[in-house]
Amino acid sequence: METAIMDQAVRAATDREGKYLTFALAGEEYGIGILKVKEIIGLMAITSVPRTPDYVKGVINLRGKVIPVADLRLKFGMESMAYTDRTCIIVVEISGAERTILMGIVVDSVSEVLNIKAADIEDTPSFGSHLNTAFILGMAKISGAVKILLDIDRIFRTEELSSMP
Amino acid sequence: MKFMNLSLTGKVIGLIILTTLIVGGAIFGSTFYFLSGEYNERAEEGIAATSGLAQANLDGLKEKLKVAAVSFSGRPDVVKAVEKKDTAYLQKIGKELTVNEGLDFMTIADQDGKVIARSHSDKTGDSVTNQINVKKALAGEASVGIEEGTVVKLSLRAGAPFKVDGRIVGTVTPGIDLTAANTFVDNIKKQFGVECTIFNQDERVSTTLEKDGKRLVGTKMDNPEVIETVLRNGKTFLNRNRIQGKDYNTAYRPIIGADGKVAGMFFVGKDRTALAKSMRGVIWAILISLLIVGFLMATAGWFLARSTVRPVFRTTDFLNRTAEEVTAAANQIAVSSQALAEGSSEQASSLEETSSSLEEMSSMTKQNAENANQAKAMMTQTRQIVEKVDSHMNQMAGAIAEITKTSEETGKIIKTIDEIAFQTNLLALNAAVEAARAGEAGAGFAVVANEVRNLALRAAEAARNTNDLIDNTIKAVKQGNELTSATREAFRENVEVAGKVAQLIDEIASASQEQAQGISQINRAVSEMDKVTQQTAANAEESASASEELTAQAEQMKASINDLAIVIGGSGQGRQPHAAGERSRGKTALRPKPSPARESRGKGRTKPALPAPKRPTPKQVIPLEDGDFKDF
Repeated sequence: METAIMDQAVRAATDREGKYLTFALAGEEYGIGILKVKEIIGLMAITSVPRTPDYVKGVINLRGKVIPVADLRLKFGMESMAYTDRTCIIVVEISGAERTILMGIVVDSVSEVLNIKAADIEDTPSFGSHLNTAFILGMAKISGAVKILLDIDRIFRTEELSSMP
Repeated sequence: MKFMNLSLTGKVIGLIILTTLIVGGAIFGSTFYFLSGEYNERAEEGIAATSGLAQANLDGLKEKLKVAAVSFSGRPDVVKAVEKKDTAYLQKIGKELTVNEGLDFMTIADQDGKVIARSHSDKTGDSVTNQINVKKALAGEASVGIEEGTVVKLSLRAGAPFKVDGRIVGTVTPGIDLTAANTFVDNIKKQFGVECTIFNQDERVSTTLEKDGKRLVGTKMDNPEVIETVLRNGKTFLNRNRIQGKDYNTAYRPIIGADGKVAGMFFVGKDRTALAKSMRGVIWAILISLLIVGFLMATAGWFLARSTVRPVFRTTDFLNRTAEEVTAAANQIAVSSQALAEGSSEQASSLEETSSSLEEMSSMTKQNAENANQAKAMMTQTRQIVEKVDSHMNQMAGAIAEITKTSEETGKIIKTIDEIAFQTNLLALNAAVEAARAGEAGAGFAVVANEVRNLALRAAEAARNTNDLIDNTIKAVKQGNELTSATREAFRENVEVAGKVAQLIDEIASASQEQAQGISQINRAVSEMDKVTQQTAANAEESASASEELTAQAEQMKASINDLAIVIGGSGQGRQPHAAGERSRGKTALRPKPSPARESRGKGRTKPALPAPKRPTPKQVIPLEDGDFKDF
């Protein structure tokens, strides 16, 4: 079993290595795997849809395609911020149960694409059993700062399956 | 005790007594004088008349004697007896005749003068030719006269011749012994009620005068004047004479003897004592009545005076009090006037000060006004400057605004560039994403994307820098603008303030104007007040002097009252002028009883018992007429 675990670990570590698109949210840097990112667009008109959760801002029309947009701040339970000219929408591909969903997430600003080595990625420390940190792939140490690498699937999958309180 | 110091009562009583005395004295004196004169005159006249009558009596007697002698000589029987020298018959007849006729003696002599018969004695044969009567009878003349004789000292003899056929045969000389048994004088006395004396020369030979019951026969006349007048000069002496210590109204007539010489004196006199007594009685009566009247009048006067004096004293008391109150009030007035005068003078001095301060204030106000005007002018200047500054500021603000606008526009452009850079960044990222998706094939593209991203970043950086610069510029400009604005605001404030100041200065100027007016008004008012104050001071002075006068008048009044009191109450009742505020209610003592009147009644009537010199002052002081007392 050790090799399985080690393989898993290596695989995990290897899985996590790659290019990440870093963005800023509420003063913190997050990262999303580049493969998950479809497109980065600037902020555009969001059509709000009724009877949707708070963090779901609405839908946008992206070259004919209607894509739901969520506010990651509200998703994370952070305070909502007024959109600036640097606010971007990152269109991500969320692999759901059956298919891949395009979703836009509103972030404060987009930074750059970083090639992060596995050595720089640390596992998420446990903050106690109370907190579910599955959606965090890991912590990346980049030039003294820590960037949180998000597992976008888990973020949106979790509440698809479970009803968010 | 001076008369003037007596009380009114005293004076009245004194006056009455004086009047009584004067009147009484006058009455008395005049009565005395006239009455006594009258009496004396009457007495003298009476005596003279009596003397005349007595003389007449004597003369009558003489005539009677003569008639008797003549008639006797005419009786033939007697003539016959004479011829016959019938002594016894003649004696008898003679005695008869003497008895009948009341003669004393009769002597019948013959034609040779030898006594044939005497009725009174038996002596015959002596010659009586020495008798004048006899002589005259022998001459044929019937006569009568007084003759001195030896036996009978003084006798009244008549002589008549006996004629037979015209031939004188004898004489008859009846006579009355004037000295014998004092019958003649007694007759006279009985008849006329006077004393009578027959003097032989100066010796009383027959008199009714008595001393110690004894007639003063043989005494001599002791009054040389009488002797001179009557015996020497043969004139009648009519006067008063003192005989034996008594006063008599006397009349001495010379007794002319048959020889024509003064043989003696025939005196009739009236004792003056009765006269004097009656005079005394009259005078006493007058005096007593006068005294009674005087006493009554004095009493009445006393009552009157008292009834007058008491109310007068009440009045004087009241007046005195009033005078004192007036004096007190006048003093108060004087004091308050004095205070008023002082206050007025103080007021005047403070008014002076006020006036001078007002002058200062006025000058200061003027200066204020001038200063205000100057300030106003300066304000206007300032305003102009400020306006200039304001316009400049405006211009500057305009320029700054321009700069700002330009900067802003530049900023906008920069912003556009930034946006472009951002978008380019996004594109680059997208390209990187696609390149990552493309995997191996997109490696080169990833580099390109990276470079593009770098360019974008550089552009963004440049834009940022420029933006920074522009921001700085804008900031600086903004600062400048702000400063300008601030300056402008300040200047505007300044203008406002200047405006306010100008307003204030205007107000100050107008206020100064009004102040100057007010000050001039105050000045006028102060000068008026000064005038009024001076007037007040003058009035206060007048008041003080008037009150002094009032005091003096009150003093005078009090002095007059005092005088009145003295007049009415005598010097003992007079009061000294009191100090203001003192009240003296000296009740005057009882008036002195009219003791002088009582005194005068007891003493001699002519002695004025009152110690009152005859001064007319009581009449002057108390204008009482004597007629006022006539009711009393």
